[in-house]
Amino acid sequence: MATPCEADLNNALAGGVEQYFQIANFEIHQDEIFLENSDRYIMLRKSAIAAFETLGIPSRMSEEWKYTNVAKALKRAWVQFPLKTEKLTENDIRSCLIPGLDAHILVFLNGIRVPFTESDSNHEVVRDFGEFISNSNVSPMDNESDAFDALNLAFANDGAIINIPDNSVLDKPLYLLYISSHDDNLFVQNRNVIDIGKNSEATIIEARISLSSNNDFQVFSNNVTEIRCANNSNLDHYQFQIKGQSTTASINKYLVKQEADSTYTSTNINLGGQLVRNNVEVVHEGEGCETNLSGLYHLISDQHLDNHTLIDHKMPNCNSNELYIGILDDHSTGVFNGKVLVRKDAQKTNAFQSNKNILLTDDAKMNAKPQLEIYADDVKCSHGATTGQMNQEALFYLRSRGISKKLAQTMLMEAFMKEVLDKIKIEELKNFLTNILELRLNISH
Amino acid sequence: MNGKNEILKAVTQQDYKYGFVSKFDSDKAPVGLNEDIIRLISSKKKEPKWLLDIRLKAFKHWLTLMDKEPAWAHIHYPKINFQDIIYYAAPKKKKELNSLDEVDPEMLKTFDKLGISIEEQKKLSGVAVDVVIDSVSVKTTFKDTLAKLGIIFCSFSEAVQEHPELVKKYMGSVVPYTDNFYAALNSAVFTDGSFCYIPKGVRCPMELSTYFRINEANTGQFERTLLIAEEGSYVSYLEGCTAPMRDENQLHAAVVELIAYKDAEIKYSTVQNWYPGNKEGKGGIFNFVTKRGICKGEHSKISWTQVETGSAITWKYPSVILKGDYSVGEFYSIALTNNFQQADTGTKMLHIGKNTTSTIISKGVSAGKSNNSYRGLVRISKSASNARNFSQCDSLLLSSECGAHTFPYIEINNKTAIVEHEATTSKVGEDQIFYCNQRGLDTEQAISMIVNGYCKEVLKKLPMEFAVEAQKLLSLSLEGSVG
Repeated sequence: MATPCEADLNNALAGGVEQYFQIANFEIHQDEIFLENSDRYIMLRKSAIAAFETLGIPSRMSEEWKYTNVAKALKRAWVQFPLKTEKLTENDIRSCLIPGLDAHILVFLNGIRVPFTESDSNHEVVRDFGEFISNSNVSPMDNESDAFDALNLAFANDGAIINIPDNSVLDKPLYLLYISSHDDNLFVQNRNVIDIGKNSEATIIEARISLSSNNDFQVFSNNVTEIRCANNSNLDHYQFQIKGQSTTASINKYLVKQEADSTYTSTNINLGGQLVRNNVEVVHEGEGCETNLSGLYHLISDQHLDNHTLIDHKMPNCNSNELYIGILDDHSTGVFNGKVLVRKDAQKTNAFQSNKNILLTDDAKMNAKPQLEIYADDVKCSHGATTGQMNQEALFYLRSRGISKKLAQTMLMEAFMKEVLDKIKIEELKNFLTNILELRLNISH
Repeated sequence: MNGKNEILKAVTQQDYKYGFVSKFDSDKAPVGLNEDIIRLISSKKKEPKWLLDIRLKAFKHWLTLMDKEPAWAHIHYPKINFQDIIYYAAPKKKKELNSLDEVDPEMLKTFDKLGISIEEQKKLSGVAVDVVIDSVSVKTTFKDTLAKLGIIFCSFSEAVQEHPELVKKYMGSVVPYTDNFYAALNSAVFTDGSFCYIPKGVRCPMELSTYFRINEANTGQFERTLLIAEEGSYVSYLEGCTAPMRDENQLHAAVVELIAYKDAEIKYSTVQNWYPGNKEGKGGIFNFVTKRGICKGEHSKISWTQVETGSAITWKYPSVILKGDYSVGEFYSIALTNNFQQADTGTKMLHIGKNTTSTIISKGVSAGKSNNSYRGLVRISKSASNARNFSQCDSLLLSSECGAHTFPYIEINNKTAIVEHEATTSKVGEDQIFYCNQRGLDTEQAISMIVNGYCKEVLKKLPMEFAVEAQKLLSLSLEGSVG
């Protein structure tokens, strides 16, 4: 039995590209679903619905979605708020933990936060979602906004609200674990807010793990994370997605606002998900900011990954570095769309961007669109994009020393990926991901 | 840094030196565009029915695109009223001309001012020139010499009359009228252009050259160039453009099609110096051009070289379809924008054949309040095994109010492809200027040297006569401030 709201959502999504989101019944049912919401939040949700109705689901005609057909992935009957609560055993959760890593742990099951016995989920940095959103300064959605952001604001009813107070250092990494386990087509939307106070420092790890083994059903998650790095703060942000190659699709949006002298470092490792779109938008609102974005992907079967980044250099004396590296196997498709925007006042900007890809088969595809849009003259900006196959000479070198072809290829791929893996500062996380990658490379080759 | 500012000032304030209007009588069609105008153009040109049919088909298609004017480029301009343009203006032909003595003296003066004294060219440099004024070809030199080798080099209208089978076979085969908005418009209303055919195994002994000039007010120029290089042939083709200074914007929408067969090579160079508008951004040519070549046979090669210094707006993407195995595509470009000029230019390299290679070198220089964008596509099809591409797009910023942008699209569908793209944006390095100063060069000379050195990679690809002109064009403004 679908609730009225689910019916609306399905109405909306089933229409695909042509038919816009119709949520005529939204107002009638809002009270049932968002009982605890304040007037302000309801107003926000209404503005978001209106915006989404106008914007519609982006088609490939839209420049930003040129290489990703999201409408196709949405054509299913979705359940938004599962009535039956899945139960996770402690062992289930344990299987998703990073061996040896001591961390604060927050667990979300199918988009809803669930208690985890060992975790200190009531840690002082975590706020209540409903309460926070109601009082937050999220601005109403307008027709300029992004359709999926609007959809998220309209329906999201849980998320991680993290607040690191001024002048403090989070003692150990915060591990946000999003688990999906379902026997239905599930549409999950979380809205996270991460606020790093002045002179503060934190490390946050986000993991998306699918525990479903039933390939008939999909989970589509549309997440938005708003991040603010206050003056002189430092956020080390890791995201990884493993498993769910045929059962999960996700759109992850990260909106990062950096104030003066702050550092935001994001490392994204993508191995899972059938269709994944990462939107990272970083805005420099003060001088002296530093932004480091890196990404690593290894795609197999028919996986599709679209990494979209925008670095908006609004202020002078800021630096940004981007490095996205990937290996594409089987029928997979990779997309990299990185834009560096240097506004008129952003003098003395240094912006570097690099995207490197290896294609392993003739059915794999890579579409890259690195862009520079520069309105200031005293800047140093560059980007590079390469796509090719494994270095044949290096392969020959290894082979001539008696190394089997398979091993030689694996060695070269590992070396290629090392550039991003080496950026992971948490040893346990690095080992964990390296092991998964090695296993994967050995299986697929 | 005072000297440097002067130079930048000089760059921004350089005057357009081709801004004269020639006073010869011209034969104009009424303002506006409809089927009757197209029939009028066609009948004026004494065209066969099949060509009129193509025009009308293109016009019908264009009408369906009316609200789909391309808006994706990084350029801003007032909406063009296509009904406010004269689509046909020809210098009035009084009688058939046999020698230069019979040419309208006013026209000869125009050639002199353009710096392409036809006679001189003919005698000294041995360049065959086709001059197109207001989209009608007025003079082709060296025709007879070329004819002996079997080379056809004439105006497009002449080709329609004398070689209809060739025109019919190739026109629209690379850029069909359905290709885009401006290609459809051009296919409907084009009035003249150049036609060139190089027979099998012939190496064209001289540079072929076309000068385009818009003279009349309110006219649009719509020319078509069709160039066919048969198996094993070689041709180097040059194209130059100028226009008078006028306050209103004028439209130029050309189509260029190149076809290279097995082992053939086409080298196509352009120095585009349409009137860029004045310092306040008033007037200037809107340049919307579709240029594309196809490497049909194995080992064929098409090379585009362009120096874009003119036009208020440039919208131009000379492309190569690399269909034949082992074919080669090249694109070398310098785009210099000043004042309020806007350029959105680049290339498309479409790799279809095996072992195809392409090279893209783009150098953008922005000054004043201009915006300069590189937009390019490199697509490696599934069939294009062992394709190789190298792209380099550099931008140089000369003022704090200009913009330099890079929008490359890279689509790889074959694992054996090796594709590299790199782009940099920076201003003239203070350390480079300092280095030159240290060695006794003043700042003006240093900047001139650095800009020239920066463009050298492309300049050296131009045929010599053009390289000199292009270098002059680039450094004219810089020299102005020296001494």
